[in-house]
Amino acid sequence: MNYLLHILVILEIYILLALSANQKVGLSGLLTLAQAVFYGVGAYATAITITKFGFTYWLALPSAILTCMLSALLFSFVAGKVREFYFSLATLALQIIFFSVVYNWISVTRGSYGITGISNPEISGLNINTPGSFALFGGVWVLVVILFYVWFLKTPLCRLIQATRDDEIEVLSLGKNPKYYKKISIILSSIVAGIAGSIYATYTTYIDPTSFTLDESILILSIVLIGGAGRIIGPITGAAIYILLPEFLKFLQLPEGIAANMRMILFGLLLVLIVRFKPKGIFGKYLIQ
Amino acid sequence: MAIGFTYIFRVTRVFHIAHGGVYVAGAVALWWMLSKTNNWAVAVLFAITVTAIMIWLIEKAIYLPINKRQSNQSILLVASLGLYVAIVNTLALLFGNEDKIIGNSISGSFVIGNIILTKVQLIQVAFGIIATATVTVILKLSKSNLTFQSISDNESISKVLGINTEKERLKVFISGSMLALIAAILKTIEVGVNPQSGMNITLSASVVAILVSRLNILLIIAFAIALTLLQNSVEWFLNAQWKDGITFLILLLVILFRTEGIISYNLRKDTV
Repeated sequence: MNYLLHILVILEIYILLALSANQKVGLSGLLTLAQAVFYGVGAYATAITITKFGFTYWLALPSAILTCMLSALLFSFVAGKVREFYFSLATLALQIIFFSVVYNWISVTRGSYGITGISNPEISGLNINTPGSFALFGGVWVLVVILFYVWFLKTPLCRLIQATRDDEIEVLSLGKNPKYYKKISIILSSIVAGIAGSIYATYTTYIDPTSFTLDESILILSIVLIGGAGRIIGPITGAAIYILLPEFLKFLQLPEGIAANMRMILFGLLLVLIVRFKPKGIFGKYLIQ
Repeated sequence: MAIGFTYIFRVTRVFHIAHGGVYVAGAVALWWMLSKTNNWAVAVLFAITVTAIMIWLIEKAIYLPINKRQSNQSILLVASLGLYVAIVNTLALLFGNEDKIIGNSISGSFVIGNIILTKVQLIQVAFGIIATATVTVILKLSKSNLTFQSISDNESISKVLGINTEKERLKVFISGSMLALIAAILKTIEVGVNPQSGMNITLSASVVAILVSRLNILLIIAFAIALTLLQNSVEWFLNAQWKDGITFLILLLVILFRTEGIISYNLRKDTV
């Protein structure tokens, strides 16, 4: 049972990450290869404020969100300078720079040793430290974020963000500043990814740089593209496919080592096939071309 | 690697991250055949065949159809990332994640002053020079560089002028992959190969491809040497882990402030 609950917690974290990437990819058309940066910033800010400054989770979370928002400003600058392919390339560079910094800034991040002893969240004296309580905790966050997006997708602000994605010049002709809407989108995306990072850090109670690599960013982008960008259901489907695929492979009684590689092979091929034959993804609304 | 990657990127518009997968696949094919036959000629021929078939399939089944759809380069990049993930994990599944070492009899070294050069390093330098010189001569004699430059500038007009762009694309992919295979073999005889070892070298090659926007082999070689020197200096004075960070910081600055590359043609604002 604990194993299933653990899978559920991981699924919830990936749903949050996928929804955050969908904000950039699906709503703003910014194909990012650096979503793991915000995930990492959220996780590290939470871990550092808890272990070094003795913050509780509920104080660490706003610090993590604030740090993510500051990082998002750097990304907004990049998004304002370059577009399309060169934006993706710039985010790839940012991802690798982030990993280098986290890996080498040992006095703050402890580098490859990682940060241990991150305490679990508490609600009214109740310690969230079992897979079951974490599944519930993560589930509440997923619900909050989904409800936010259900509301947000209907707002005029979201329509302007989507209009910026579809035709920047038209948005300019309406007297609006496209860069501003990109910035809002990137900040919102970073907040959701930061929340996912803070949940991950307090759930595992240990983080190191290997959880926030380029591979992780590629994975998050793949989840959105496979599930389909632009709608809420797409990223959730993509995350479910990624997390539940190895469970399905277990029914084929593949050994653990083979199943891990098999999952990545199937995921890589699925990504190629989606891009080649169904660019909207399984449930996507926005055609990435 | 840098010559192959730059030509592929500039001519076909594909930011071919799967180049790292092709690099590893060629090296693993060589290692596997060598372990079966212990015959270098057979192993090299086998590696060439595997690499050529692989890149032919990738171009015909994936890149070309996406390119015909007029998709933007980011989509080609995503497709390439997916291919890379699939190739690397297939190799890990079939042959394991550990280093594949070629037990060779090339040992010994030369000492020149304070410099120690192993025989393997000398072979690497010699074959590197021969390979790049051969490519340069072929490009000069066949005037292919002009054709490639034309496709790189404008594929549609090149077609109108009678250039078979599909054939030229395939030519670039196969030549680039063969150069990657040479690099992979030379690296494998020194330190071996594992499924993950293609990514870093491909990313370094990709930085050169962005810095040099012109299809000029000498410039590509000069930038590749400069980048390697920089990476080794960082490794020497700071530590190895800062190497990628500094390399990509340069790439980021170039993308942000000189998107057309350090050495480039003057381009119209809307093409960069």
